Amino acid sequence: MDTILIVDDVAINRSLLRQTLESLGTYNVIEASSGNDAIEQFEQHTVDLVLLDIMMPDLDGCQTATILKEKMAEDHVPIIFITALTSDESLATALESGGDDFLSKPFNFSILSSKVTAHLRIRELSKQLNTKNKSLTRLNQHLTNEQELIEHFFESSIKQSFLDDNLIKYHMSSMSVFNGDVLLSERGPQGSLYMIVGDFSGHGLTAAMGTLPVAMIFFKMASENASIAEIAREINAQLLKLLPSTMFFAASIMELSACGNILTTWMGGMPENYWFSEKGELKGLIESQHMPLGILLDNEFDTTTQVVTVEENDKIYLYTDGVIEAKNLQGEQFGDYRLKNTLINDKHDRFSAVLNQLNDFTSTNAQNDDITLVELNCVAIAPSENELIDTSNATFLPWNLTVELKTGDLMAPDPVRKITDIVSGLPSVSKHEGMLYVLLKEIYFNSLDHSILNLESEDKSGSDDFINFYIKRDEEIKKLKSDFINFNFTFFNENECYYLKIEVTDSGSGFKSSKLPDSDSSLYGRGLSLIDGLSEEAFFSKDGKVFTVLCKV
Amino acid sequence: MAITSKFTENNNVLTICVEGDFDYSLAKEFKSKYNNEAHTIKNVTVDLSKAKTIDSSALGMILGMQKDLNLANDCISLINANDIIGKVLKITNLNNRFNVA
Repeated sequence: MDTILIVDDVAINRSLLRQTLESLGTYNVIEASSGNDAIEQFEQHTVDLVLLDIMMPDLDGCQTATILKEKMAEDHVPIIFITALTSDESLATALESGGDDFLSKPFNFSILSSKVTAHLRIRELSKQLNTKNKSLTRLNQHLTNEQELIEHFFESSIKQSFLDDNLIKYHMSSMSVFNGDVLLSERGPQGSLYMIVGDFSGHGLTAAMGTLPVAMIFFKMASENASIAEIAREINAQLLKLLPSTMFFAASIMELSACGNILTTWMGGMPENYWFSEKGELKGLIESQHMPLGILLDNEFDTTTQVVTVEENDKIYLYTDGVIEAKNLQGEQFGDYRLKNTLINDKHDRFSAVLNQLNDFTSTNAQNDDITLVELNCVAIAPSENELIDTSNATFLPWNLTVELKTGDLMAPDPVRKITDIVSGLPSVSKHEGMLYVLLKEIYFNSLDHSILNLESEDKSGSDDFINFYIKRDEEIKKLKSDFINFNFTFFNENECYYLKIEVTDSGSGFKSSKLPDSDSSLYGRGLSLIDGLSEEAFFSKDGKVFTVLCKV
Repeated sequence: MAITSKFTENNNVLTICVEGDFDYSLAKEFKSKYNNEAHTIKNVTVDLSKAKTIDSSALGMILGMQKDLNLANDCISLINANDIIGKVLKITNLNNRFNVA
């Protein structure tokens, strides 16, 4: 039920008005005998309509209306003046003070009725509007919170990028809050630099969604020293699973070797990269050879990479199509031509030159795609602080470990892998795992082939003999009875260097070095020279029965 | 499948891609990739991008292939070697013999 407040200093007028209203409909009518009384009543009740006498002592109707309007703030409660005044001017003043309408005394019954009904309807509409406004404000707040959360999520998923300004200069600008362009870089465990510059089809949040799986795969595989081909294949396979068929990911995936001289690239669906020498001559273009990622099935996918040898301070420019497709006010595109010219003509700071040109060109025109420009400087990659700490500060305790392979172990597949896993589990040698495996394998087969099985390397002189040698070895292994190969590892520190000494003994007759080949193109005899090259020192003692290999670690 | 291969340019150029540990266990498979087309092959590229380690017998296999195909040193390229394999190629001097990138 609507509540109507009648304000009049004359009791008989109030009572008359109340009777009239109550005969018109079911209203909850309350009365006030003065302006101050009206304000008090207004605060105590939820009033839907005010009928306000203008001529009152103390606070008159106009002053009262002004105060009431202030009190209702955004909530609209109509005020209708009751007045005997007829001059236009005084009516105008009354409406200006905050009233919404007026009724002249004496009342016309039907006008009173229609005005009250009309104003109550406006009041109802304004209440609905207020409710909607409030829920929209809440919704908007909710969306803003969600957006901030997602932004945070994106930022933290890609911020681990290793962006050394000595190596990488970049500019990324997205046309909305979320970027469909991707720039990720990471230093691999062998010190090389991995980088992805890419562009999801579309822009905004939908395009940015794909960056999450790409970032996760990239950082994980880079930390595992994966090849560029492997990374490309894995990202393709995952995106194929995740993305709708209309979406794909154009990308350049690169690895710059730790020495900064070899650049490996897998590139699909991206505009060509420009390659400049330090002196500023254009050495070449690195062009896309593949379709974008997320389209081809795994068995159709081509992992071929391009490998180029770069020189110190060579620069590679990568960019997404947002650069060449940026439009000026006339709708003309920036284009390959302007980009290439700017790169070739500016010898000092091509990167800034392109950005300035692009900025001048587009002037005030709104950006219509995400834009990314990257300059890769080919230099040797400085070791990370962690690596420096590892070698300078870390101290390791000396240890000794013996592993003995018995007949059963020699027959099992890849015993060397098992030994490597044990030894490389120790913190002092863990980072040399790959090299240790290569070394132990040579040592192991030297013992097995030439001491225990007594096979002759000479048997390997032709490529068929070579294969037969391995077949023969497999047969001989099956005949082993009570043989063993014993590996003794000693890790120690001498003159501030760490060493791993490997002493190998076995159940065989020992190694006879009489038949080592000397030609470089010989198919065999390479194992020992490999061991020699990988170690500080390698020698046989006790009549070829003990083989000692000393490595710096 | 540890080894994949493909021919281009009228079967003159062979690319062999080795995955995982490139060692003696692949000797037979490695030979099978070139043996049937031995007379047409003029150029071989061994793509090591997926190879993790290499052993001396793998080096023997590459040399054996050179002999079988009767190819000059510069007709054989070893590409995409990781740091470990790169070091092995260097120690054994094969990086000077073949094209290594």
